[in-house]
Amino acid sequence: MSRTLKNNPRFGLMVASSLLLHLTIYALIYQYNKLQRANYSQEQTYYVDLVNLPVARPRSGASASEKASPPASSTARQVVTLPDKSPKKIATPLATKKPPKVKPASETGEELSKQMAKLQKRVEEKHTSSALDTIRNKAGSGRTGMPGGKGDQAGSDYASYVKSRLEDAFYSPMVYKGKKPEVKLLLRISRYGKIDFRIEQSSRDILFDAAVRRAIDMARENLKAPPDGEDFEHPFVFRPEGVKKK
Amino acid sequence: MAIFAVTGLVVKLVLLVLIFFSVVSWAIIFYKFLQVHRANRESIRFMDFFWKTKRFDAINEQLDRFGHSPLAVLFSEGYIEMKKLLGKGVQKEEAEIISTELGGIDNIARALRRATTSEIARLEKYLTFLATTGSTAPFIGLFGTVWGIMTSFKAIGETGSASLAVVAPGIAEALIATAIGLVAAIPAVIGYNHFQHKIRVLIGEMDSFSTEYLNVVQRTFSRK
Repeated sequence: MSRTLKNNPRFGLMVASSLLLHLTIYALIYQYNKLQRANYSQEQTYYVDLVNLPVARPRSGASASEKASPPASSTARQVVTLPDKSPKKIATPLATKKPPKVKPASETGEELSKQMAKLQKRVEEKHTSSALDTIRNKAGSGRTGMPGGKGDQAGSDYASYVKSRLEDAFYSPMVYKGKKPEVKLLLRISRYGKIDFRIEQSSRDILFDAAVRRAIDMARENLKAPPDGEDFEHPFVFRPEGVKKK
Repeated sequence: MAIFAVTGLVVKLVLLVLIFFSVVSWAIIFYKFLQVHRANRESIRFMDFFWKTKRFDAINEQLDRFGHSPLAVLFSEGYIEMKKLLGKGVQKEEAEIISTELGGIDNIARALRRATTSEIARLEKYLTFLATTGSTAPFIGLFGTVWGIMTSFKAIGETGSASLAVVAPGIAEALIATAIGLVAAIPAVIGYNHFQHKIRVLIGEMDSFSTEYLNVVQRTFSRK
């Protein structure tokens, strides 16, 4: 019997061969994946940052959400209202003042067209001035909702900015205990950008509270320090629908 | 790969077990392939040599050439037993006579049967591992998948988002366990069935050789 055992192939050698085979297959799959990844043309994704959308009066200190009305729409409104005013201006002198000297029809038509031209010019001037204002505001540091915003009300722009960042990071759990869970917390951001928070009112739902904590942790990575060099402190309310400033 | 790195501890353990099963299965497949292939090849050569050579002692001297053949082992065992009986006969001054009445042929038959059994055991060694891998690896993989899906659903529940982009990666990570379970099981089952068939053929050859051997012994020594 010893002869047969001696002639058996070495099992250790076979294990080594098998290992080599597995490593080779692994390497092949790895290389294949790498090649596929290299050939895969990834199109650049563009994100629209709602916080940075243009605002009518960024320097006034109002938040982006409160006063967000693009310049184009405001001018459009002006254009729409103009025809209402212009006939008044034209109509009143005609109605109240003494009857003017009778002019030929061609003269009155010329006057009317002149007045219309004046009004149009005025509208265009207004339009240009409002557009220039918008450009000036944008060019300056005072972009509403940006961490560099300088509103008159201390920290009002920055609060909107923080709120939007928290909203982006907050994912409400699919299931929660109560009907309307709510977490009230006081968020404090130091002038150096250190973020701290205190939960003032818990939702008594572990998952919901954890989601709020996670949102703050996620937002922590993107949040910038307050622009005015002062500590920022603001209460926020987290609900399943989203985040609100208190 | 990245998909392996992101899986949980339990799934990782399952994957490691399955990889171990796969490595050992392939080692057994290689081992058995060599063993059975050599046994077949050398058995054919041995049978040719056996029928061409008339003398048992001449065959016995050349047995080293057929080291991998189970038939050569059978011949060797039978020859040793026959020699013992012949030696006993010499002592009794009845040289070269193997009496069937005294159970001499039975002794050789028993020796051949014992050798056949041990050769079958040698040929079937490690095959049970292939059978075990074939039958259990898919279930182990399935366990890993179920566990992975459970944990991924838990994570989805915590984040609150149930979009395809959130659900799909977790399930893909979990399904890799089933995939590797099948990768380990399929070659094991194929190898097991293949080698079982080959070994069954060899067993048949061993049985017929034993009968032939006994016939030759009886013809050669009973006449004298």
